[in-house]
Amino acid sequence: MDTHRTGDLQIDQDPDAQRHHWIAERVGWTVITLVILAALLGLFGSGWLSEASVGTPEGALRLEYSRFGRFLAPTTLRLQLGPDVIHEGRVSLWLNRDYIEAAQVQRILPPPEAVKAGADRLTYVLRVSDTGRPTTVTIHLEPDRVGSLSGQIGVAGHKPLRFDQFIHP
Amino acid sequence: MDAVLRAAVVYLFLLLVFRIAGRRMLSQTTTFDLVLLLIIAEATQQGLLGNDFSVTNAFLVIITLIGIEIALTALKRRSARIEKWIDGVPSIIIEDGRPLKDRMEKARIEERDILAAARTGYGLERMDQIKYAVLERNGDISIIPKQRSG
Repeated sequence: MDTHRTGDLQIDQDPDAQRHHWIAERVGWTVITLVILAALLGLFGSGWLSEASVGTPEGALRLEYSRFGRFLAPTTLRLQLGPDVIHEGRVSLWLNRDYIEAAQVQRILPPPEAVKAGADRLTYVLRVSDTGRPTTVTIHLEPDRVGSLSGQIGVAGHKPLRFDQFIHP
Repeated sequence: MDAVLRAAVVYLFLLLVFRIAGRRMLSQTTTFDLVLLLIIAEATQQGLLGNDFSVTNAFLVIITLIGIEIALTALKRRSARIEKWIDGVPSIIIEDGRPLKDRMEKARIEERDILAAARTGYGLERMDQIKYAVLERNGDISIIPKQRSG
C-alpha cells in the first residue's frame, strides 16, 4: 500500500478524495432534506399530497382515499352515500376483485350483512338507516401488493368511481 | 407525514429523557446498563414504527433521525448556547488532588469512579497523583496526572 509522510506522520492523506467526499456529503444532506419534506407533504403515505377524492357529478357517491400507501400498512376508503342510493335501509356496494385481492379488506364499517362474489367484483350488502340523509361507509384495507393499484367502487344503478393508488414497498 | 412526525417526537423525547438522566448514565457500561439500553431500544421501536412494517416507513424513520441529527449539529455549530443545553458542559471535579465534593455530589460521581478512571487510563494509584479530573460532556472522566518529577 502506498503510504506518504506528512511531517513526521506516516499517513494516507488524500485531500482530493476528501474534498469529493465532503461535496458528496452535502449533496446527501440536500437529498435527505428533500425526502423529509416530500414525506411531510405526503408523497410516501399520509399527508396533503396523498389526500384525494372522487365523486359522481350528481353527488350520489363520493370517495375519499389516499393516493399513496405502504405495503401492509393500514389505509382507508371513506365512501359518502347520498340518500338516493339507499333502498329499504340497505345499500349494495361493490369493489372490483383485482383491487380487493391486492388491498386486503380488513374491516368494513358498518359490517356487511352479506357478501356476494361476482365474476369480477365483490358486492357487500350493508344496512344503513333510511332517514333521507347522507351517510358514510368506511373500508379499512391493508395493501399486500406493491406498485399501482386501480380500484373501482360503485353502487348498483349508479356510475362507478375509479381511483388509483400507489403502494410503496 | 406520520413517519416523520413520529421519528421527530421520539428523537426529542429521547434527547430530553437522556439529558435529564444525566451524562453518566450511558457511559457507565455495566452489564445492566447494556441490558437497559436494549430494552429501551425495543420499547422505542414500537413507537417509532407503529403498525407499519414497510421498508418505506423504516427508511423514512431512519432518514428523519439522521436528518435531525445533522440539523442539530449544524445548529450547535452556530449557537454555543444551544450546544451547551444539548450536550452539557465539562466540569472540573478534582483540582490539585482535592475533590470538589459539591460538584461530585450534583453529578452523582463517587471518588471510586474517579480512582477507577485514573487506574484504567493512567495506572495512577492514589488521589494525590491526580492534578485534574474533569467530567467531560460525553460522561467520561478524564484525568490529568501530576508530573512525576513534581
